[in-house]
Amino acid sequence: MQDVIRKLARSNYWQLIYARAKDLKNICLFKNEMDFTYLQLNLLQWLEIYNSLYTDLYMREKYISEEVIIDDIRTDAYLLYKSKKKDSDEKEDKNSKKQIDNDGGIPSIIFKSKSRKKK
Amino acid sequence: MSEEKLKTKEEKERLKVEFRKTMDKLEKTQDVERMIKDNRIHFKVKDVDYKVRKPNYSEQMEIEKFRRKKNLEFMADDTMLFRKQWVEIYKKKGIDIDKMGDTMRSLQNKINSIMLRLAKTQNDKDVEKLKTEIVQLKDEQASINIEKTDLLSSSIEDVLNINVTSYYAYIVLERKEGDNWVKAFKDYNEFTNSRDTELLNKCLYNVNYLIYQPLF
Repeated sequence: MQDVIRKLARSNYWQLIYARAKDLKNICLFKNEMDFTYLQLNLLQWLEIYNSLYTDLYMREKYISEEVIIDDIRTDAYLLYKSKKKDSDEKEDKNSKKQIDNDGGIPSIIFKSKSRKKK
Repeated sequence: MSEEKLKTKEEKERLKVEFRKTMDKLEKTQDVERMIKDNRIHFKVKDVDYKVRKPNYSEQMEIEKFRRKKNLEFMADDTMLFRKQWVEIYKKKGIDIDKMGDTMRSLQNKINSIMLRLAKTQNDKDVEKLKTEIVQLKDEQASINIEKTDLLSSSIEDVLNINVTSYYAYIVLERKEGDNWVKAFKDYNEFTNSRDTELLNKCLYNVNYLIYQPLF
């Protein structure tokens, strides 16, 4: 079942409906507007994932291609690579921010405001 | 029969199989698309229209009450044990279920490391090789999981789950009579004692796609 849900989620039809439904309120993905079934939630999750993959493809991100998107195993591999990369980038950002914050080891200075005026 | 004719016959047979496979896939896709459109799933058994739908608030309360009652009933039964208790009993008999979990996790680590290599691979031959390795490891992981699930299938948690799903199915299953939808079974007893296995199987199959289960 998962393979069919993923096939639908990456199809032009569902991607178009999904993208338009985000912008236009009168386009609905399903007959029901709430109380979603497991299948519907599953499709929504994959629509979001494939939407981000098509964005990556459009942005010419590294290691993503049409061949990757139509292949479930390669898509999973790309998603894992992307999440690991995001983790390591965030870690790097944190470390470099720490270094900038305390560049040279000077303690931070607190400026006291002089709000009280002398009479 | 000449070799050429034999080849054509084989080719025709292969094309037939391919065509059937493609049609099956298309049918499956259309089926899923139909199931997705609404939060009620329609199906036919022996030309009778049935549907399963999401339960309303009072029905949900009824299902929860059923779960509580069954849980108490199982806990009062000395032959019924929790998963943890089964794990301990199996351990004494030389079957280590915790170790199965460890093996599955270590297989997942292996899968992840191959996946990371696959993500950066462009060469078709290497891609196919890595994909085959992943599929083999996933198969290995799945067979351990099946074994583990099978060993724990008598646990209170698992039996309770099956019972609640079955009660859920009874609550939300409706049959079309003229223009109206009516309950397919008058009570749970009638549902569980029904000999219409086709209806029960189709009903439970569809109910599983209604009930939310965390995906990741």
